[in-house]
Amino acid sequence: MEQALIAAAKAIGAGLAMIGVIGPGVGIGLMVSGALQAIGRNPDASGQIQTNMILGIAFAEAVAIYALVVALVILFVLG
Amino acid sequence: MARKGLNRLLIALVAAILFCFIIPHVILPRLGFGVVLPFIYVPGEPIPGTPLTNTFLVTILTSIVLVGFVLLATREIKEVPGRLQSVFELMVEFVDNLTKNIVGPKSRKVFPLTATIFMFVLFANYIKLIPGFDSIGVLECAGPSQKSSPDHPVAPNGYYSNGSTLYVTTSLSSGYRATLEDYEYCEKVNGKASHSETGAATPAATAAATAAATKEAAAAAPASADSGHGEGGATAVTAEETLRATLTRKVDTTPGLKIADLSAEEKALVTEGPGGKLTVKNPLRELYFITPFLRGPTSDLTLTLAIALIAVVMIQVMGVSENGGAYWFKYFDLPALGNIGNPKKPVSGFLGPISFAVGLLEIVSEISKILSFAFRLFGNIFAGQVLIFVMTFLIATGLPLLFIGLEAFVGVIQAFVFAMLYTMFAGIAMAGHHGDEEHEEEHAHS
Repeated sequence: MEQALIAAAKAIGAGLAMIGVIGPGVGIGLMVSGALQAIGRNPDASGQIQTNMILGIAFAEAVAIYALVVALVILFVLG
Repeated sequence: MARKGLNRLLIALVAAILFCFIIPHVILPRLGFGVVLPFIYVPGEPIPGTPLTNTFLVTILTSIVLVGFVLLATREIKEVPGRLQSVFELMVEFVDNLTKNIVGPKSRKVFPLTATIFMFVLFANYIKLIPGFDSIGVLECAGPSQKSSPDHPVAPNGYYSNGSTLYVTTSLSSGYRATLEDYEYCEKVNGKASHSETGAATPAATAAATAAATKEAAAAAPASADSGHGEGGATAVTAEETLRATLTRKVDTTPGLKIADLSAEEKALVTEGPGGKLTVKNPLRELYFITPFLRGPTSDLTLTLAIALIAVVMIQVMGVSENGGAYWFKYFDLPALGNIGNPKKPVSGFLGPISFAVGLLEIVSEISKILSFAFRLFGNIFAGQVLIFVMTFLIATGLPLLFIGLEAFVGVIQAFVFAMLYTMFAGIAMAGHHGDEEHEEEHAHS
């Protein structure tokens, strides 16, 4: 009985932890939108814009990964 | 050319279906081998008897591979480069452009560590995609977690909070909950003393079987027929347990089993459900997990933390080497404090204490840089590894290929991001506290 409770609590905890990836998702969308608009205005600079966009996406993705790591830790490491 | 491509695709499909589906899910279960649930484990697993971990082994291996690659590529430098040399030239040129774009004329100082970080992290991320990493290892008996059963204080890997509870025989099934009896049975079968007797058994040192598996298939659970009696402990495998275990395996792995196929004593242990589906009344299963010999180094927080520490310390070194002792005024803004009440510097004179406090906060920012470097790389690579494990476990044909492709992409991106962030922070440190206007002018020219 207690094991079932622990397993259920783990699942709920992991699910709640993953709500945190909404933020980076929206952030990446905004970043790419800005990059696309900039490329539209100035196609010659597309190389630089792309590089900076990838950098920004990696930053935002890192935050999403932090949330994923917390979820994985809850599921597999905590008793 | 399209014909050739089609041939190759067909060969790959046939090989994938053969090795990823037919062998692990059709042939091996008939021989008595099962499917092991992936055992996700955050720290690196230690090699018994030494303080080293399996990720440390692969770090050394990566270094050897990297140095070997560079030596081979630069052995005879030709005007028209061969393949290895051109790949190496590509990487060096890429990092060179990166440092020149970000830092400008001082790029020679920053280049060595940037190139090292980029190439080492790239090789470390890619070496774990070779088949055999994370899948070949030592089979160990699974055990309960300490918190779920207080009379088993030591989990098999020495850590207290991991317990394997699911036992799965076919893919896409959610499995069965294992019981304490199952754990004890596995230990008895493999000749180890049960934990409740000695309390100090370390199965990692005396694992009974070492099995090899392909990257897509899971490991084997050897049949109990070849095992002996317990040598360390007083408990031995009883005949009744052997019967239950073999019967459970038979019922689990042959889907079309009818009650008429069983012997008399076996019939007593099963109940027949609707449609002729058999369930064993008191099932007994052996539950194993793998401790891999080799594991991708960047999926261990230890390595990423080490690289992050080196990078941040070197950022300070770059700052000091360029600005001298005045670099430390970034953190302890003594000139601003000294300017309080100075009528010649109205802004700094008024905001002196604020500047000093902001300087102290910069120290916190440096600490957070260490953590962010470490966790970004660790999180990406570890999450990718877990994703591949789970996807391979669910559907072994074809699906993991997509995720291995994703891992390849993520590996390059993370190496690039680490190197670029280091270069940027080093550039900021070298520019100094009040050199920002000059830095912007330089940047506009380049």
